[in-house]
Amino acid sequence: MELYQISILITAIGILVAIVAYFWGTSRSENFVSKVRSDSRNTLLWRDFWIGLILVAFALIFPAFGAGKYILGQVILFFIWAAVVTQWNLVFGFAGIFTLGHMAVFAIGGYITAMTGLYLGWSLWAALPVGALATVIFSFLMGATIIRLRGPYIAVMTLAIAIAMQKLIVSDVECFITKDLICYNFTGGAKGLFGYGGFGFKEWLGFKGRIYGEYYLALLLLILSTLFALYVIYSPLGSTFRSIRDNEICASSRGVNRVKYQLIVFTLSGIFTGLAGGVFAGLQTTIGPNILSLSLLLFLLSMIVVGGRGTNWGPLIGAATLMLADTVLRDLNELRVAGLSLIILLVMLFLPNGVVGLIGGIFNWKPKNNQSNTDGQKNLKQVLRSNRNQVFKKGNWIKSFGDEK
Amino acid sequence: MDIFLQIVFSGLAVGSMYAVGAIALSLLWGTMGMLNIAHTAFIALGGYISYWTMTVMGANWIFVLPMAFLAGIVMGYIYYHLIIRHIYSKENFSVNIIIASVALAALGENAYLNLAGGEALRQPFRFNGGLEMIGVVLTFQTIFTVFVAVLLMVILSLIMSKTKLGQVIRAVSQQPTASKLMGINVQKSFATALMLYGSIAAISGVLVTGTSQVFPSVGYDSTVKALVILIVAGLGNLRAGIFMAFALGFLEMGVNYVLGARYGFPSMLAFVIIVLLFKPNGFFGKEQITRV
Repeated sequence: MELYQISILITAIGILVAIVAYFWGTSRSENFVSKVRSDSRNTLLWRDFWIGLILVAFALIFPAFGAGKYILGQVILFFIWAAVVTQWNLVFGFAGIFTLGHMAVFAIGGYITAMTGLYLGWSLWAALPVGALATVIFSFLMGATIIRLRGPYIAVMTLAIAIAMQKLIVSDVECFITKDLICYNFTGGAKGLFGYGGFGFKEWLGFKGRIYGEYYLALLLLILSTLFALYVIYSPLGSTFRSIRDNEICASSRGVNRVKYQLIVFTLSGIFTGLAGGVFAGLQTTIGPNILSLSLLLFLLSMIVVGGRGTNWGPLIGAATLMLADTVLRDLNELRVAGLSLIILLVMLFLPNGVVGLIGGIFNWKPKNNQSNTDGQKNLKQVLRSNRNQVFKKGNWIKSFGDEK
Repeated sequence: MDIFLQIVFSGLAVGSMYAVGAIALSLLWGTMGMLNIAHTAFIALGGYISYWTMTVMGANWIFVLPMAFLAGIVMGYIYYHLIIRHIYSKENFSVNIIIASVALAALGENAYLNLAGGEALRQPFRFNGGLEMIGVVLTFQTIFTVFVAVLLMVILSLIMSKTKLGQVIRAVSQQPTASKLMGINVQKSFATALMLYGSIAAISGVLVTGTSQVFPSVGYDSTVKALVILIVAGLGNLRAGIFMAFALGFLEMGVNYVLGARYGFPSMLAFVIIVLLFKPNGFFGKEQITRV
């Protein structure tokens, strides 16, 4: 076993331990759902605090294990993707806005940061807030145009926006400025933007120490992004979205304005998505239209789906799992996309609530009883098969007609 | 004048392609309420079947459309029984199927890439030449595509309104449980709808690739455009979808000629977004009221 495999294994084990600890705390209650809904907010808050602390402590000392440059690079990438996916999950899983255009928001952050560095000559540290601000404006505009649509409409329209953006960037061929005899297109065109400098870690920490600077910058990004997501989840906004998710009609009749709160979350998620874009652009020292490609979209989407949509730590687990899977699949380079899409399909078919849902299901497993027939998801055939006598009782009868797809 | 005519002709060509895609996709929306991004794999299937039949096997062009028809039926059947059926039985179908179909689109693209290679192939099923009017050519390919689009629409409307199959599909889409109680095999009728969809989509793939070339991601553009068109027209309204396909085709081609080709799709999208801002259910769509 090589060193990098060992450290990946350690990471995986650490994450697994954290997951087990997570559900250990909640498994004592008979019913997970009722526990979440009851007034146990403080317990959950402390649980998330301890998980976060363990993970952060582990991440802080991770470079001391002597991991090589390649592994640290992979972990940095993991931090950035996890930060993006945490924000995407906030919008997609938690607020219920089924956007597939999150990479467009990310790209705006990266591109504006890079352009500010390149055309205005600013340091990238100064360009980061500019990029984040521009992203917030963009995500507000994007949200304002799409949020009033219905769920599946949003998915298609946001995907179309991302594709249109990629097309505009790729087809950009006019020279915007000429520097050192190199013609720069405004958006960099198909070859992307480069030559806008970096965060200056090489000058501060030397050639060898540079990677550690990058590591802790990306870690800081992920920590802030996760803190922000947890803040939203535990704030009144979080309760609002839980009420919308549990019963939208009931919530709206209590005066909850879905569009308003969804727009707020969509806009706010732009802050850290934009920052992640800027950090990505700075660390990669180049940014191109390939971040809007279908395969990257699929990669990040599968992180959310595999981890578990709408859960606090699902995106992080999903990102870790997918980065591991990607390292394995990299050797099969032509079949990499096929492997990713198979993962998504299998998870959609067998684990619709992701890994977190699976673990929660194991801890909260109960033998099936007749009560489960009133869950509303069962079709008439199953009702008929399981207990024939109850079919014509009023409750079941209405249920089987009432649940329209 | 001839620029105007040129825009009209190319708008007709593009619009008819969008229309064929919109017909197939709106059948799926009407039946199961799914938006199928994996349509791109079906389009590429039509293109590769045509290439395989004529160039590799050396068969006559007459066999192309029947072969695409058969392949589409088989793929639709597999698609339903391997994937859709299982996702349909769980909650949140309409969103989950979009995620799954994005994955399937990528899987299809990767499969074509590995089986046939990434290079663009010339699709042999096409009509050369055309009618010349005031120096502008209306190609036979365009005429043929428009003809097939209209034909498919008529056939589909007839099937849905006149035949027993259409009745079954409509009944199942309105009340799955009630139609099951009336003795309809819901699984079978959904599978039939998917087979019908697959055949139309594969035939549209033959037509779409006729004006360009065949490569793994060939259907991606027209799929997204057809979905956007369906949404702006108001889902479930077939005639409005066809009308919008042509209207947006003309708009896109007009912008292409006036501002340059790179602004065609973005301006079309901007138009759609503006429409949806004022009418979130589409231009011809009605607000849907769900009873609880």
